[in-house]
Amino acid sequence: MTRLLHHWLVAWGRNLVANRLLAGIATAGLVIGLAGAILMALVARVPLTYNHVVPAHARTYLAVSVVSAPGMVPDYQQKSPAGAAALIEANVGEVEAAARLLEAEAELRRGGTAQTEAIYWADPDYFDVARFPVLSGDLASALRSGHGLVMTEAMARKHFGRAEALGETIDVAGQPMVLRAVIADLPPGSTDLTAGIFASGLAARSGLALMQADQPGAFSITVRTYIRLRAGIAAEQAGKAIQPVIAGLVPPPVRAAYRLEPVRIDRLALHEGFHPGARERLVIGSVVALLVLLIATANFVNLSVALAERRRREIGIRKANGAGRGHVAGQFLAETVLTLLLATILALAAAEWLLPVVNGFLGTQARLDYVEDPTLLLLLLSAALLLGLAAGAYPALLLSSMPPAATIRGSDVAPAGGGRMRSALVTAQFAILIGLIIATSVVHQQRLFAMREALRMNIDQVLTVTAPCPAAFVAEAEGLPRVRAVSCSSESLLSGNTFLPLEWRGRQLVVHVVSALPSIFALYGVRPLAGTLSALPPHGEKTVTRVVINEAAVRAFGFASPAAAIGEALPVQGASPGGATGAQVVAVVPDFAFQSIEKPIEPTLYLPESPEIWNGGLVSVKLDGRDMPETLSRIDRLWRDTGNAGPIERAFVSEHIERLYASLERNAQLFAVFSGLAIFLACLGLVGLSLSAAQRRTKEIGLRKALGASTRQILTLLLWQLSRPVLLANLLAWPVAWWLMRRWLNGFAERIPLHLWLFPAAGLVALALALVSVATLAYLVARQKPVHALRYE
Amino acid sequence: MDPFLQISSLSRAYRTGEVETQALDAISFEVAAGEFVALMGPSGCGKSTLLNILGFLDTPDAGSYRLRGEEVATLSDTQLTQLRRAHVGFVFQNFNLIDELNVAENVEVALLYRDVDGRRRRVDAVLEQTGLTHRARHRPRQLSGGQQQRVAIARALAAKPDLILADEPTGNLDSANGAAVIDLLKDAAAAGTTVVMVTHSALHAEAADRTIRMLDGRIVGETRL
Repeated sequence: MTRLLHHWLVAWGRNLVANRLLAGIATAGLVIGLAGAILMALVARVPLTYNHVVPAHARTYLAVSVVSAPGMVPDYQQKSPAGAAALIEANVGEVEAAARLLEAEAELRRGGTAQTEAIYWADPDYFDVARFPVLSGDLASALRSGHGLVMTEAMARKHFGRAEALGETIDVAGQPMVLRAVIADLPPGSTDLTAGIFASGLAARSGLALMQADQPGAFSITVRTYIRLRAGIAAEQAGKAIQPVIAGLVPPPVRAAYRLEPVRIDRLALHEGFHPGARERLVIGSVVALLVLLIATANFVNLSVALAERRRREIGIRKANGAGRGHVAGQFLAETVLTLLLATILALAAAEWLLPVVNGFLGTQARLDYVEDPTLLLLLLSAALLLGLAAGAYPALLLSSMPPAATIRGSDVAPAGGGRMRSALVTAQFAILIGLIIATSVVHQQRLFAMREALRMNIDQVLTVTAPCPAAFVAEAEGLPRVRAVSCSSESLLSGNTFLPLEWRGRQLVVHVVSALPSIFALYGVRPLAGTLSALPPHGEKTVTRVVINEAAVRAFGFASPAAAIGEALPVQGASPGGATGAQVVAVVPDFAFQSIEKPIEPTLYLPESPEIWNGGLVSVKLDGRDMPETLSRIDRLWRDTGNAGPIERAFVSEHIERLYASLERNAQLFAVFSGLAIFLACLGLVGLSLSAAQRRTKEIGLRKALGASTRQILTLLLWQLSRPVLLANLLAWPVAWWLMRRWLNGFAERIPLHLWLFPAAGLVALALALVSVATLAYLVARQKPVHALRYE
Repeated sequence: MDPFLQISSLSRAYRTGEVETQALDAISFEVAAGEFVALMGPSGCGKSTLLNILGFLDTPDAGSYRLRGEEVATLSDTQLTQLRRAHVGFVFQNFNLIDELNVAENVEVALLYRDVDGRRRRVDAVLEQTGLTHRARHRPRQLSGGQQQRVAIARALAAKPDLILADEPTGNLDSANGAAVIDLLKDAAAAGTTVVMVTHSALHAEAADRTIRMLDGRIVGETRL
């Protein structure tokens, strides 16, 4: 057996060297495909194992706030009312334990050194709910005194110079606290926690202790409430039980629209409410990476068969000398597995090298650490082994079934079905490639649509300054050179995070509310569809009596048309600190939004309030786009000169929109990168196959030329034969791509139509790429002198 | 006692599209153990087809093939592989050495699939027997045609088969090398191995105990020396 393995190894190695060009092409493709798949697997692993450092993660939940109403996309916030945890623990039988964390910035002082750190003020029993792996100390009792402090190992080293610092004291927010336990470092990016210091909420100056109960009518969500459910309890069941218990914390107008929903902590990373598009991006990325790996594997299988066919004589000799089918199949299977393992090692090296780039690109914190995570390497190698067995099975079966009498003569007998299978694999490769080209194009078009037409407003050269409409700044900014217009609104114009629950003709509605000066519409190029803005006072109303609404609000309130809404009175009680009770609709503007078009535009009320009565705000400054550096300097100078405290917080609206579509942008880039890889691999495979075919068919080409065929006729024949599978691939790719891209586009409330011309265009691109990649080789083969070809054998 | 090989009414046809070629047409003959038989005839008369069937590389369409009295014409692929492993050594006109293996490794291929003790010793012995010891680490392309054929014979001998089938073993060799190859086959026969050799050379056929002449898939004559 040892000698047999030795022989296989020798034959494998020497054949690789002898056919280094084709073997190199096959293996390089495989390395690229595997590296892509490994990188995607590493990236996907982070959100899939999110918070798995908490032993009871399957029963540990974060109680998140949800604001929703019929017809509204629910708004999710990870924080909850401060009083919820105690109520839940005392009154909800389904919940075993509940505890809170309050994020804060605190000064840590030890000796003469002071540093400001992000910390958590934690309830005494927080670590009973989230039992992190402890390195030293008694975690359960660590926070039960007002001086208790828990740190991660890295934080302990940072502040005490060593991890074994139990009993050491440090001032936190001006009060001495004692390190009672050290927990293992939290793997970066793999939990919902961002700080590594947990101070007892019982401390006199802790944020939790200082927090006051909400006043009647006021309502705020400030803490993170973690709950551990009793074994066997479903989250929905607990959610239902929690609802009546916390009802008293929520003011009556909001009560119907507000709920606390338990979300399992290991599902926070992919929760649509917190990370829209993350799950989809993960699925798309994984599928595309798998498709690229499939292309690479198909290439590899094809080229392996082509290479192995050159070894017909060897197979014949081995069979004549007693080798059975099993021996031959085993030999080729072992060779494939060895090549796969070699490719995997190279791919791992490439993945390690590229991981920082990928992390930066996708905003992830994936890691490849064999020492800390040896099972990862084992898993990857096992996957490579399985892939090797799958990829090697076909060539092994094909070659071992070749008849020994024919193979021993080294005659041109091709393995049964080999040619058809090879064509099928090339067709499948190009079908995937065409699909990816279509997907790349659709994603790119949708991205452009989202960032331009779908906005339905003009954001070119609009700068926003985060400030509550400072009068002097606004007045003088209007007079600056290169400034075309200035207007004010509440910050909710951009964030869309202010809701107003109201009752309308017996129905509960939740609408968005934006406070804005009437000039904001003209600044963004938005014209009323009905009514007029001219009747509104330029500097807003002190008490809201009039309101501008969008088309979505026209539909939500049930008006027949924009014109029909004009003059209607809407109950906007509580919407304005100015004390509005009702307001008349004076204008209807088109649906425009600064929020993602993944969600439909919400019904929105634009309250033309006087700026001094709203809290927080946004100044929009429309520039003419020329002399930009000077103009921005003048605005900064004006900010300081008009007596505003602190540095100016300014940004272009286009940056906000780009941030908004970062996910879509990443999808587009992901598709572009993988499509590029797919194109490279498919063309590489085609070059490899045509190289092999050219060598195999030298005699045939010589004969054809001897019988009168011209170089052009041979070239046409070769190119046609290579093009056929590509053309056939269109038939496979088009319907699948159409179905998938329609589904993807349906995820957007506003979307482009799926243009049919894209499909033949993608097919043409694939065909052109295929022809370009093999044309030179085909030409060189076609123009060979027939005498050379006929001497070949 | 049963003859070593007993062929009765053996037929084999090949079909290419609508054309059927009768490669072997109901031929019958016997070969005794340790006999050296030469098969002669023009190209396409069925010699190589017969050799492939004798060596279990191919199966007949009809007729009987008995090896030491046991019917083997209807055995499965796996059983034929086992018979090939147990009884047969091949020598081909175009040597059929594996380019990627050196001389010793090529010879060793014959032992890899058999349960043989002392492989290395056996390889060394046959290389010495065929005068190739000094070429053991060379690759086939570094050898002359005569040397390559000696390697092929060494490989056939290494497994100590009962039957050596040689398909025009001297076809690609000059007369001196051809004679050397025939001597090696004669030595094998003298040592008790049955040898069936296809040849176009009347001179080399004279080295055999018996010559069977074929034409159009039939046996048309037999000469015993």
